[in-house]
Amino acid sequence: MSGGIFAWLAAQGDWASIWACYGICGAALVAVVVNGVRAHIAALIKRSRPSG
Amino acid sequence: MISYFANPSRFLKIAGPLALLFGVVGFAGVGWAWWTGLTAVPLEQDQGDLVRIMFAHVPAAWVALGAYAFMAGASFVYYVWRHSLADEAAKAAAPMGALCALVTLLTGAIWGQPTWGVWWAWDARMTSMLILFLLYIGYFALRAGFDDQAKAARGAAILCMVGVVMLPIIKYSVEIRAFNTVHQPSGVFASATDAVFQAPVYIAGLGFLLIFVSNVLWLMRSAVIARAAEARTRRARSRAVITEVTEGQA
Repeated sequence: MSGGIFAWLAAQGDWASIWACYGICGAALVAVVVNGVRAHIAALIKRSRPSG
Repeated sequence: MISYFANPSRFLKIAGPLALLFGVVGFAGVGWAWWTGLTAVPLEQDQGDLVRIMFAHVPAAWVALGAYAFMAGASFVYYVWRHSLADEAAKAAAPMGALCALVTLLTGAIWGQPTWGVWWAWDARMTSMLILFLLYIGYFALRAGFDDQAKAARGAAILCMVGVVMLPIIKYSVEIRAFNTVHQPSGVFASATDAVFQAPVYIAGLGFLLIFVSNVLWLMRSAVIARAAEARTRRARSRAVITEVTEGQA
């Protein structure tokens, strides 16, 4: 199974490198958004807690 | 103007809508640039299809450096004037800056293997970029390493201000001959570079910048909300203690 994936990647040539770069970069941008949402939810939870 | 928006309640009012606007426009810009870069840009004479990696690698590198410069500026403001919002700004810029530094290193290695024949070389550009990434890691470590948040903020601010010396080293590492790097000099702004390659990289860079600003505003906004909630809890606790003491005396 994994051999199949590597064979497919090798067959893509330059495009395997290109997709890998865009995949890494896209994942980083998604992580930035997820981190923002996580921080916002954490702040809202703190605000909704009874202060007493 | 900066002092006007440094007021937390004013900041909260404008930061949310601005962050959403910048985020949407930023992602649209990156989406257009990447789509154009992958489908419409012609083959480059030396690198062929591999030139398309530029539209992911270069904007990430710009933001990695720009975010650190921003953090150093905010750290300076915090260190001199002790304004907590400046510290929050520096803290908010660090995650995307660090991620972009990591993306630059990884995409650079993937680009380097087919073009230079090596994944990695201990040369000036790559090593200085790795040091910048380690500075980001050090920043996170410093912030997490102190129980006293004020001490952590001061330590992190000093690291930021000292580490900013890396930015000109990274920038000029490909231009000063003595560094003897395998990395090519920057060609994005060169007049010899065709506009068909320049347009997507500029738009992707602008998109990354807007996403960065959006992320910083959003994280600062969340931090201000969280701090206000903590302050409210502290006030309520101290009121409860005072009531307990006065009732005890009566």
